[in-house]
Amino acid sequence: MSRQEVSSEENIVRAIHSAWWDIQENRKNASIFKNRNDDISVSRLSILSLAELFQIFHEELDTSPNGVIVGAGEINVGRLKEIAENYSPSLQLSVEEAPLPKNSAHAEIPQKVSRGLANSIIRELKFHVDTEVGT
Amino acid sequence: MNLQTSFLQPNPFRLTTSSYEDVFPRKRSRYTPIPSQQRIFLMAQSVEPKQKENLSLSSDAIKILGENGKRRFNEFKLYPDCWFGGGGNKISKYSVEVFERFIKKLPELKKFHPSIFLTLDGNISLGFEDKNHKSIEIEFYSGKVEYFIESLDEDTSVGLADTFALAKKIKKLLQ
Repeated sequence: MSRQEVSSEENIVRAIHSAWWDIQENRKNASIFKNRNDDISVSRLSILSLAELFQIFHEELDTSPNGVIVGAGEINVGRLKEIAENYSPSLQLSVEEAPLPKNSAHAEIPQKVSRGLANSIIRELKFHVDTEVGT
Repeated sequence: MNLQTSFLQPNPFRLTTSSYEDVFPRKRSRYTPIPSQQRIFLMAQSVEPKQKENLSLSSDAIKILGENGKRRFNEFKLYPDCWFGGGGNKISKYSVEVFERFIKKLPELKKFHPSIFLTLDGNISLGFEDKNHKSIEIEFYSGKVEYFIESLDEDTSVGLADTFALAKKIKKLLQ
């Protein structure tokens, strides 16, 4: 069954783990937007607020004793597609609705993103630090 | 000859230290015994592989990564399997070994304050900017090194046999 594409007008966020963000040096790793073989999980801000999403991220993703979700990277879907299209080699990205029982805002990017493209996307992200984590 | 006093006579077949050196000069120089202090040092060196099994960073790596990098590495060591929701492999000791071998070839990296990361595959990744502030990112797999060099527009991987050439290439971008 084909999934509904998320509108280019919408903004999405990607949870950022402390393993991928060196806050002291303010440097991020491509792992934020680079996948292995899995789809890239993102969440839609038109469905849930950032505060609600942070709560879900912590419940679902803080599974190591030390590493935690320290923030989220926000980007407009249209802008995300544009970056991928203009990248060499060009890539047609899509963001598809994939709601989960615990996260109704969940969506997925099924295409394989390279390290270089991930770096280009990361540069365009608007970063939100989760103040609750106290980093 | 009086047998009782014969042992007091000079023995023509007895080798003195000097005559031994005269007879075996090359052997003497090639097989110099190792002083006991040096032997202790060599034994200490042979312990190093055991330390790597315990996933400790070498002093060379710590010098380059600094205290922040050391602290992050020690945190990564505590991550269990599935540290990111359902995904995320435990840190790979093979990746750490490849990383260690690589970083020792680039001591000048220290000035660029590189960041250390852990990927979902359990690999160590290194990120920094070159002298022109362009991104360089490297991920150390057990059998290859994947990298992105922004200034050269290279987004690829090399086998372990080619990591020396990669280090040389990066060195040029730091000078």
